[in-house]
Amino acid sequence: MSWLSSFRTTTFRMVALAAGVFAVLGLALIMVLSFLLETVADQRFDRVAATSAQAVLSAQERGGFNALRAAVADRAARTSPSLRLYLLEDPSGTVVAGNLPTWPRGLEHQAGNVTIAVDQDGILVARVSTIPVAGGGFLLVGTPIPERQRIMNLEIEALAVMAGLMALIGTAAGLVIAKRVLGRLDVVNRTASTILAGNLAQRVPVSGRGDEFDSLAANINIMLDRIEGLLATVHSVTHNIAHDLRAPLNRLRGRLELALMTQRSPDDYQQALAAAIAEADEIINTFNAMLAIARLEGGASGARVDPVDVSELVECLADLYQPLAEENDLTLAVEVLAGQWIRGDRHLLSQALSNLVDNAIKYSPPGGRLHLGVERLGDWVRLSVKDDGPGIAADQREAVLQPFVRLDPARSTPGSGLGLSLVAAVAEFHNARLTLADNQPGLVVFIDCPVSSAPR
Amino acid sequence: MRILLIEDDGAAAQMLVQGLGEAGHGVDVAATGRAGLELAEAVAFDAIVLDRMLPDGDGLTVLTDLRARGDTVPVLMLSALGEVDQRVEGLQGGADDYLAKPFAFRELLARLDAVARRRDPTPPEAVLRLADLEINLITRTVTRQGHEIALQPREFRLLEFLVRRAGQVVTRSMLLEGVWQYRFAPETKVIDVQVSRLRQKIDRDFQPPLIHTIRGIGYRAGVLA
Repeated sequence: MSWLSSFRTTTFRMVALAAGVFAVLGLALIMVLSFLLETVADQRFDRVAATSAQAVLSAQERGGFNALRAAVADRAARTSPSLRLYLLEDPSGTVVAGNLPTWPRGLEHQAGNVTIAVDQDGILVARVSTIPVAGGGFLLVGTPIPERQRIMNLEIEALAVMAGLMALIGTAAGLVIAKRVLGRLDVVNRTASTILAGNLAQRVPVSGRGDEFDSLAANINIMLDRIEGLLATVHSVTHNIAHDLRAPLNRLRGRLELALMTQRSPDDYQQALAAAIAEADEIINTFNAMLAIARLEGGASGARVDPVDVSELVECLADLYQPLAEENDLTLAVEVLAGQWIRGDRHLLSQALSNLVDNAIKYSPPGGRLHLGVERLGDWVRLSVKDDGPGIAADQREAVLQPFVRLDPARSTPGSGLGLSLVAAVAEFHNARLTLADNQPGLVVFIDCPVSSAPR
Repeated sequence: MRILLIEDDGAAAQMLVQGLGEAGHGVDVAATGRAGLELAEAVAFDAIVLDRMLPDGDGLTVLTDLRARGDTVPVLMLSALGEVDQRVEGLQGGADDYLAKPFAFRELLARLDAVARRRDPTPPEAVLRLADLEINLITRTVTRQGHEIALQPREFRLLEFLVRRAGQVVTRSMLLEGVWQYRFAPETKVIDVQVSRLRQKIDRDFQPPLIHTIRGIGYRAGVLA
């Protein structure tokens, strides 16, 4: 399994990284420590050398170079080269006194303190101070430090041991961290596998520690909730599409079959075909509405955003519907605040409002009153369609905006069940708030659109 | 009329050829935009039905090429892209009308008829006449057999629209577009009610009837032969 191999490589990487970091840290620690120790020792040797040099140089002040030479020779004679080194060169560079046979190789003739390999008389390493003599020549005062070599050897051993030890500790630490981190990742992975296997109800457990893994788990769970919800919607919409299109297609087929069953007069055939066309038109209208909703929800390519005078639009719509309302024994009242503009698509808005008025007329009993309105609420323009029909129960008002949802389970009234969904999609497209409310009695639909200024 | 059909979908083209033929039109078919442009140059057609999607490019290019060489033949564009933008593009590109698929065949016939007639320049008139009906466009009054008929503004516009197209079939969606500037299909019979109101005032007290229902399609103003 791929997650297992990635678990392994990730573990390996984390462990290697931890071991490496520990080893490097250990080495650095030893190196810094030895550097500090050497510096402290060197400073002490340099101070001793300076004191000794000061003592012999004071002889020069009293008796010139010869007195200096005598002082150095005296000291060299009294001191073993394994304890202290003295050497004096005259201005011509000839060794004139000291307990070293020659000027050490590689040691430059300039003032300063250095640690050098002397390699004379069994002395390997020494800390030497080079002091220029007034009037020419150089004085060398040094301290052999045979232990420095041993310490260095020790350091190398310690470094090797330390590196090994640290790598070991690092590996152990890395393993522990990897086990903890990847163990929790593994939980997420296993949940994902279960979900992939088809169990969408599964959720990633949250440990409650409130760490990054918990927020990861929480986000994944929110994502899963969304996906589950969307899948449920797709499922029910697909189901409804199948149902709503199968019914008119069956009716269409039935009509055509019936027409073919016996010989009929041309007039009867015409009637049957006209009915079939009407049935087909209904199917096409359903598809068009579905397409329009899908387009709007998918970002509405093709819709135009222009200034729209909604006052004029509603007046015009009322004018169109007035006779139909009267024909259905309904009164259609219009109350429009003139000159209200919004930004949007005139045709989409008309379609949405016409769907609402169609519904109001369809569901209102004779003698009912319809009301179309445009009013201003601060920065919003409120379009309203009211009726005093049966209304929609409060707990159903969300549901009816879903595609194909109809409150009449037998679906006996004509219509695609997409009218209100289209209204919702159009409202959404216009950044408008759509509200379904109780008109006591009846239904009132508000579409609150952000106001726009009139074009010049 | 002689009509050029530029359409690459064989089945759709065959259906249109049959329908237009039965309606008494002569039809030439071109399957590509290029073939269509060549045919249009060779023959003086009364109208062109142009599909928007063609194998050799956008029907809109064919239209602009056609207009660029000064051909003013009426063009009715067809397209599956029924959205407003494409419609506006088509009309701005020089189409006389635009019809979205799927469409009712009679809708196509009626609109084709309308765009072809639009070609004949009709001088601006003050009075429209149909049999004994007179529409005065200046005073906005309507009389029949000398009797004045009181109409509401929308009824006046509806009557004017129908009478200007006397003898032609006018579909419901043409009425919605022409009189109310709407481009959608209401679920209810708003247009039928509007027309029947108008008919009450125009035809109830007079003979012969001037506004006729064409079942399943729309209306026609005129005197039946």
